[in-house]
Amino acid sequence: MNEMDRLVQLVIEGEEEEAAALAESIVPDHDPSRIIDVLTETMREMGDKFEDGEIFLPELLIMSDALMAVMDVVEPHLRADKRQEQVTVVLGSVLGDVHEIGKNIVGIVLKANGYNVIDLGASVSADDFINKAEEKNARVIGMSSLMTTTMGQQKKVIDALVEKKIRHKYRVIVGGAPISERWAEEIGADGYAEDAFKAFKLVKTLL
Amino acid sequence: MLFKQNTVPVAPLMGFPGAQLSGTTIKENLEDAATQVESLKSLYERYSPAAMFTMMDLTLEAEALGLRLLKPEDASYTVLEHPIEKEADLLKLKIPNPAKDARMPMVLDVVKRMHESFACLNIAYIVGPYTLAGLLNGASRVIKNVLKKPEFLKELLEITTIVIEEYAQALINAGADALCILEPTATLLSPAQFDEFSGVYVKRITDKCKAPVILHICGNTTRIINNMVLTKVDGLSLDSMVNFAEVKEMIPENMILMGNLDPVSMIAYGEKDVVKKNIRELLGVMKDKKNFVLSTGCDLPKDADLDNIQLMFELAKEKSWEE
Repeated sequence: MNEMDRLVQLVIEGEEEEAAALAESIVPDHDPSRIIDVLTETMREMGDKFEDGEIFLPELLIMSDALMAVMDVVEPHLRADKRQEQVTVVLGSVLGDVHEIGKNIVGIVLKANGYNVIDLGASVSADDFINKAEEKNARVIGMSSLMTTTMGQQKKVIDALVEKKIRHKYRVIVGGAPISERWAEEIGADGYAEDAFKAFKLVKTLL
Repeated sequence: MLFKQNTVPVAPLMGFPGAQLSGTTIKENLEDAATQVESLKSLYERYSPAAMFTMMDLTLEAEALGLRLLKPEDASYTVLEHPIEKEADLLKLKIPNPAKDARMPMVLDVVKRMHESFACLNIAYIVGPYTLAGLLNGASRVIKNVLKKPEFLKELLEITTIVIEEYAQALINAGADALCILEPTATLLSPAQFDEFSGVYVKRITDKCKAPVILHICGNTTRIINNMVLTKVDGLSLDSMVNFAEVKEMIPENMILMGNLDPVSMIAYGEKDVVKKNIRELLGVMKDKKNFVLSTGCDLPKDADLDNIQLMFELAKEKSWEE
């Protein structure tokens, strides 16, 4: 097994520290964007397995942690011009909602695919979503809501964008267990995705 | 069987719409038994459902275990901290006394008043063992620990199971006719992981419990339905993503199957005609199943359309099991 295969293996097994250490040792001799490409491909394959029910969230989460640990090692070695082309996505779980797992995975998949992800965390107010998106020149705002009682907040953010006459500047995507295509349409979002991998495809189509 | 009626029993998972009717905030209902019962009573009188539920609150047991909560004025509570990260932290946990810790006595009082006032089946919610472990350990961690620290997780599950068993017993003593275990976090596990980290504990709670138990898991549970059946609960309550036409044969005849109208885009905010069509379709799919209870797939939000809820009751009467 060569070093690259070994790295992929460690990421799949979720061996965060070992994967980061190996990345550290091989990054001087490898093209960093090649390492990221290989890992993005791994993430995509695992995403397919996840959608087919071959692996489940526990496997996906430990793998994502290892992947992020490797990205943190590799990213500083990327050429500056590669980093500047990135599209910025602002993500968060809406006000009153502390559920973050789904949103975190969306962030990881987008990050692995070259997006600049700004994760605002949980219970994010409409003002915080909008101020951060404006400040960072984001093009996409992603909102997650896991509860029937908080999903109305997604509409509040969109309404606030409309009120400030900046709705056209953003592609707004929504997700979360109780969210549906129908709901996304109803509140005037640009799209809904069922899971992180579909969210990535959605963002690609929207831009 | 839990329900005895000639027509399809209707029991939406509703509590918060009662706050709409009583003109109170969700917080007022989650803090004060009299207020909650007043809200539930307005639902009971308006709809005469086959069952009434306490107001859904996944933080109740966690708060009694000492966790700090975020308590918004008019939305569900959430847990603010997840302090149980490692074995040593388990010592911090003290099994709550349902008669005096946090809001457990308040819910016992609600159940007592429900028992006195409502002639239907009165069902009290309890949190599921894996979901409670997730509140204590943190949701991300409890999922990863299935693979990373399974031994630690099982020790934590031993504790959450005891907490739930004791609280369940108190609820039954207070007058609950049945309990409904809310185990949403388990929807994220594989079938084998479900058995190992949720199912076995749910079964233990059910075996020990002297009242019928319904197991409610949100989200698309299609892959773990067989495993949910193995817990030997008295009923399953499944969410709107599950296709009842596909799964109805998987549920034994002596196990209730509740569901599964979309609580939000359908019942809460849907257009009348679409809602009607949707309810009739589901009744049609389930018409040969005597263990079916018409319900929502998950909890209804406070501002749900009260007339749409009414439609569930009206349309269920159209069908008779005796046909």
